[in-house]
Amino acid sequence: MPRLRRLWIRAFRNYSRADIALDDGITALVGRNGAGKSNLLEAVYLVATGRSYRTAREEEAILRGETAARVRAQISRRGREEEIEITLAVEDGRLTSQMRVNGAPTPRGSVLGRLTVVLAAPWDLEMVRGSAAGRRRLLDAALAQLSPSYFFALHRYHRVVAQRNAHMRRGAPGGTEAWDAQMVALGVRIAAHRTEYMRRVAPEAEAWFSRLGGEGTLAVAYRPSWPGETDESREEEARAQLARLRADEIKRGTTLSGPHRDDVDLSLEGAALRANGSQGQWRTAMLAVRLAERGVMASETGESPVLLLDDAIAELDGDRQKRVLGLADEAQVLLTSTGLPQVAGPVRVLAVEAGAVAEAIWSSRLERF
Amino acid sequence: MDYPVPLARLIDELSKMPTVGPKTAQRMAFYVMRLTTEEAQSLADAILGVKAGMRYCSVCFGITDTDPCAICSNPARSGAVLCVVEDPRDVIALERTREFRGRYHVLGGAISPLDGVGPDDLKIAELLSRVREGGVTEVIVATNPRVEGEATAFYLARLLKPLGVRVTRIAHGLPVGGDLEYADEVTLARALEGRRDL
Repeated sequence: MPRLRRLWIRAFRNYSRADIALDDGITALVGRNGAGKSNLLEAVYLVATGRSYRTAREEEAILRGETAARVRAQISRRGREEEIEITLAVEDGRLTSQMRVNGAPTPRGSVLGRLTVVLAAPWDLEMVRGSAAGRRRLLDAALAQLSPSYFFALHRYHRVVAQRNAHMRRGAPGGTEAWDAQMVALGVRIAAHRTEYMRRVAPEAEAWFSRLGGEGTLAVAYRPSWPGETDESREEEARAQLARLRADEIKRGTTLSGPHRDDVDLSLEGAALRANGSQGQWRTAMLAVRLAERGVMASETGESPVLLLDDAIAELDGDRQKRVLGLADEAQVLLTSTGLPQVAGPVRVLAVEAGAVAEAIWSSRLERF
Repeated sequence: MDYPVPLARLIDELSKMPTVGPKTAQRMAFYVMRLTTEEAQSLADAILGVKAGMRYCSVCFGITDTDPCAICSNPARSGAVLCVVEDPRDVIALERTREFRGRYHVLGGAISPLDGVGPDDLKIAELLSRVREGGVTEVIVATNPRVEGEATAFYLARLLKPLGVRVTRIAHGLPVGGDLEYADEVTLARALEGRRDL
């Protein structure tokens, strides 16, 4: 079971420095809005995945007046202690990141999966109302942690699509065949991973939705751009679409089919969730999807990822909070809340206060409940 | 205070070099300043010597001080097998293996529309005419395993196969001498993909 033992933060968001020892089980970060509770979960997510889930105003990740932010996590996994670290810095006006494992610079692809995490946050509502890109992130965030070869294929795939687009936009002589072969091979592999993953997530998410008291029947379905039951049929479909869309692609200078156009359908009682549900139902649906993601990752790797719940259970009643937090397999849970959560077992409560100084933030450590 | 003009000029020139930032350039310039006149002359001669003495081989487009290069003019090397690489440095790397007894062809890069590099910017026409001249039975495509190198390999294969030569691609996978345990995930994943029957 991957465990987060200790978290060091320097100049990240509103923290100038923090050094937090973490326990197994459930830790509740309790404090007023704006105190910096979410920033702590973001720090964990960032060091685990190399990416922030907040995409807007990235430069604010670094504390004002500082040139670099650093988050370091001491983790234990399969009996081994490891230290993973990410440094964010601004170079030429762009935010860059550098990751390390036990002090040695390490590419992101090799850091992913060391501290597996699942995060449920208010931003998840963007998956309901926003574009397909947000919903594809739902697939990629989990799969990149589960499978280095998925991460590798996705990375290359995006590069191939960018090259293919550039080829068409520049009106380069000859066709795109040199790119098509790679695009199809990588894209088919990505679609196969996503299909298999969603085949397992969808029923779990649907079950969680009713367990959390969601009204109606939620349906979650992967909508691949290149559908097919087997790699062969996906490849056939891909080739057919590339041929059919060729003229249009050249005119628009962009690649019009493939996994970068995939989507995930979220529907309630047979109609789009976006059009059919209330905000409360959206929240329940997204939490259900995240809990399903956690379940699938746990069964895939044999160990529960760390569950990060950012303001995700506040609206649930006591019974349902217990259902979420009473996960059978002893997951480590970090949650933020403005009040104390309702849990049967022990919870460690850390008070987060406004401001950036660790001592002030961690000044009050309440008793165990 | 700014550096005096002669020193500033050297720092300026040095910092144009790849991987050399302003700080490294300063350090190098101070080193040069402290050299004896003979040492400085020798450094300057070496720089000018590279310009005067090095050129691209007119056959394979590798770097050389004689034209054609030592490999192209060596009768012991087989002209039947051509190894196609992106960069002259790749020739040096492959030569270090002392395994390959054929000749080379240096493309000068890989197809990359994002960087504005198309087939016409590479020595592809020259490769085709070398093959058309006859005597070549196999072309080994040893471009880098990045997406650009793969696309270039695909492009070359389509042009070369109709000429009746065997076209092969170098394998990629685990480094020899490395334990599986220590291979990075991506290399291992690729090696799994490139597995073969026993």
